Amino acid sequence: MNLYQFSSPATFYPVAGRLAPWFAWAAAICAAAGLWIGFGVAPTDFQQGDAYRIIFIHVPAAWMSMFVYIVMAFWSVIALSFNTRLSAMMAQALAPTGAWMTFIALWTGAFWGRPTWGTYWAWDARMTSELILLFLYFGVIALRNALDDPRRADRACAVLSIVGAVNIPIIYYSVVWWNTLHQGASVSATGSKMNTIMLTGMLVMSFAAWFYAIAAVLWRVRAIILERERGSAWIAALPGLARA
Amino acid sequence: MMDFLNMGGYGFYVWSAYGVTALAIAAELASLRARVRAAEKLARMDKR
Repeated sequence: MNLYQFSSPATFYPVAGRLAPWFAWAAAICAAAGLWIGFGVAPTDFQQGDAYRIIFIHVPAAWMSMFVYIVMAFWSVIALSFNTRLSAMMAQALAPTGAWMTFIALWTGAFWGRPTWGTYWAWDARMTSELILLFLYFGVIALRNALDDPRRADRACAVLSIVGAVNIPIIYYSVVWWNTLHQGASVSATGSKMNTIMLTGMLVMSFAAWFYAIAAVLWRVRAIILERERGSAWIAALPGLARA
Repeated sequence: MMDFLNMGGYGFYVWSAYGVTALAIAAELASLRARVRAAEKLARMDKR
């Protein structure tokens, strides 16, 4: 099998259409299981009471907000290096989902912080760098909308995305490098400080966030392909568009 | 049921977090659906 053929929008368009529903169903099943564990099985925390249940969405959303950015920067590097259209379209499709994930991470963090720390917001390094991440996503989206030539927008957005990637290690290590109100990582590659059931619920919700993001990006990249490949012969020949 | 909604006194915070997350996902999916529909409509118009 030649994997390079999937770098063509014409080949990838139907593949994305077939894959997206599977990821959406996987997301729904994981979310249902994760919420059941999070609210039905996991016990009340002895320090935080039931307020801690917010972390079942906060942590997965915060992880995804950073991971989506890394993937967006990766496709930007590929797009700049090889001048491939689909890579730029992938980067374009990732930005809104990354922005939503960042918004959810900030919002749920505020509503967890208020009962736990006594404040919705503090200008500490973790929260401030996460807010900058949201502005970076907004910047990438706005820059694309400001440029009429899509190929030129691809290059400008790729440069901005790659430069902005410097913020990701800053977010990740902010709780180590600076004395922040936000606590350090409870889960790392070397282990976890969490109760097993709570950790399971959080990981299942993380899978839900992954699958959701993949489904949303695949659907969006299909729309982007149609928008940008408008007028090409393969789109005119698409069988699915004949109906309605 | 009321106990569940009350969340040990943290109901406002828990449901504000979950509610707005649900709204955010619904908003993303709705805008995505509108964008896909619009792109497909344009592609169909080109065909004719």
